[in-house]
Amino acid sequence: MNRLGRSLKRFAMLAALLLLATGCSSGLADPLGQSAKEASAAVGSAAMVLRLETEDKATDALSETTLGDMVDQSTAAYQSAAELTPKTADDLALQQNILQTLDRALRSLHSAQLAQASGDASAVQAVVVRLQAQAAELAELGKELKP
Amino acid sequence: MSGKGSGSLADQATGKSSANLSILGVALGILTAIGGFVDIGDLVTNAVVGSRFGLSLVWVTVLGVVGICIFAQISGRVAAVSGRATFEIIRERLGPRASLLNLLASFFINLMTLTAEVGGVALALQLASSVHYLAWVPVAGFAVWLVVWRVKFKILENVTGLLGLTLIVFAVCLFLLNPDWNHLFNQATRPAVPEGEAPATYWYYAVALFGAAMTPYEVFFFSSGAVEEKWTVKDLSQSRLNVLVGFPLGGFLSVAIAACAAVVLLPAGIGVTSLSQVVLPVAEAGGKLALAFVIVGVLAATFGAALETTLSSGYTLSQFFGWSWGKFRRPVRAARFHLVMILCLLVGMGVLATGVDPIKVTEYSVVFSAVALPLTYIPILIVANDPDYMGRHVNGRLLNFTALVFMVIILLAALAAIPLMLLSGAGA
Repeated sequence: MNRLGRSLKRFAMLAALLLLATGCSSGLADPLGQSAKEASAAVGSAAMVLRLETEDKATDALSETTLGDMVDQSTAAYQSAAELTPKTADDLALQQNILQTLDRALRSLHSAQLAQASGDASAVQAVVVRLQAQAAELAELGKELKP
Repeated sequence: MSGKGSGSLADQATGKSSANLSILGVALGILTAIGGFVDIGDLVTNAVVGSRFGLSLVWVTVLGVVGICIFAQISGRVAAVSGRATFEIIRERLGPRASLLNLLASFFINLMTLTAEVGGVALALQLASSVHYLAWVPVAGFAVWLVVWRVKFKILENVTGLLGLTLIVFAVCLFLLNPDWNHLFNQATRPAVPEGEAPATYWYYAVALFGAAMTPYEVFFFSSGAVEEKWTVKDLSQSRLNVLVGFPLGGFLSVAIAACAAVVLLPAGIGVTSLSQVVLPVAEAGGKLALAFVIVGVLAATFGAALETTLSSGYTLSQFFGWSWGKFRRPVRAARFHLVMILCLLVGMGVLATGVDPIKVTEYSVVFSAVALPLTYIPILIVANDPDYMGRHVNGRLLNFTALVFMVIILLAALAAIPLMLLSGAGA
């Protein structure tokens, strides 16, 4: 990831935390936190199964099945978050921020599927690192929103 | 009677070989009881609970195992003494109206469990092949029907039970993971709602785990199986041993599943929502070999339970309406029994074909099992205390006291299940 990308990610994280400070008491915090937690579990599982495959502990079939399941789970989490109706500007900003984070997670999961299918070990390892970071980020967001 | 020191050499040899056979029979019974204990409900619920609550709900598994031991043993005795299966006697003893409620609840839960088990078989085949589970559903359904139609009762029970023993790999992997045993012990012995989880969610899963351990079909299958195998009063000790040794060891497997999830998935913040996540701790600890064992185990456990629930659907309905039933009869002599099983399989496959998540079906089936438990177990207790059916084999005082204590727990779980489901958002 380039420097600009990292800065953008930090900015998004800071913005999310600021929004959390104002938005935690809103009605959206709880369901958005739930979506973040579910996506975190999905991304974490994807990272784990790919790591196991690189260590020759998991079969192709297990990785493929797990990644497919996790894409479904993250898509469901995204849809739940997207279906919520914000009533205030703060709620809207919070929802959009979470949706962007979930969208990044979904894109990473699709990249993981491609990397796994290609069998390119270095691509898989790069994806594992990215997924682990995103799982931690989503878990943090989930905890802040739904303690 | 040919005693050890009094008979001829031939007598002694015959006695020895029949003793060996009997030991073999007991061992086989216990092993199949262990391997057959775990089904999709136990697999999923224990893994979900382990990944979210650690071992803080082990006490529920212990409670559930004690409960199923008590009631399976009672229903086995009723069948062995009377030579008739549970539902036949319940209908006769309680009358058609009162027992209809029992039938409806049990049949509905059984159908739900059957759907979950066939889905479980398809999911296990997906884990082995990566072909989508929906493509496996017709294959799984057809295989279940074929086995129920063609294979002898004893063989289908023993083969799936013995193959299900490969789930011991969860216990082996728990040791390979080298966990902090003190931490696990503390979780198990000092149960508490973990940080980040609501009390309603904790109690919802407590009820689900209890429902998973005490699923009603196990009792119907056990008592009808006793009639299929023509048990008599002489077989009571072996049936007791199967239940009292086999089921607790099966419960130990359930705890191992929860413990593996608690060690690997809980610290990573991964709450289980799919079967593929259930096996990740095994791959982490034992690699591809352990993975192969666990997939065989999951397949055997779900396939075995799919056979049992399919048979139970035929048993319950046929026994209630007084139709000819049983695998000991040729299909042509028990046509309605076989037709019910085929229809139930088709309904289960149809439900799965809608794309409903089999894991969700499993989660709901164990909770609704808890709701239906009193309707299943109260009549069994009534019949087991009726000397007209049981003669001198009615329940003793101690057993009745323990069973009544369990009835209170069962009633509480049944009453709390739906409110807890609503309060916790079905465990969200």
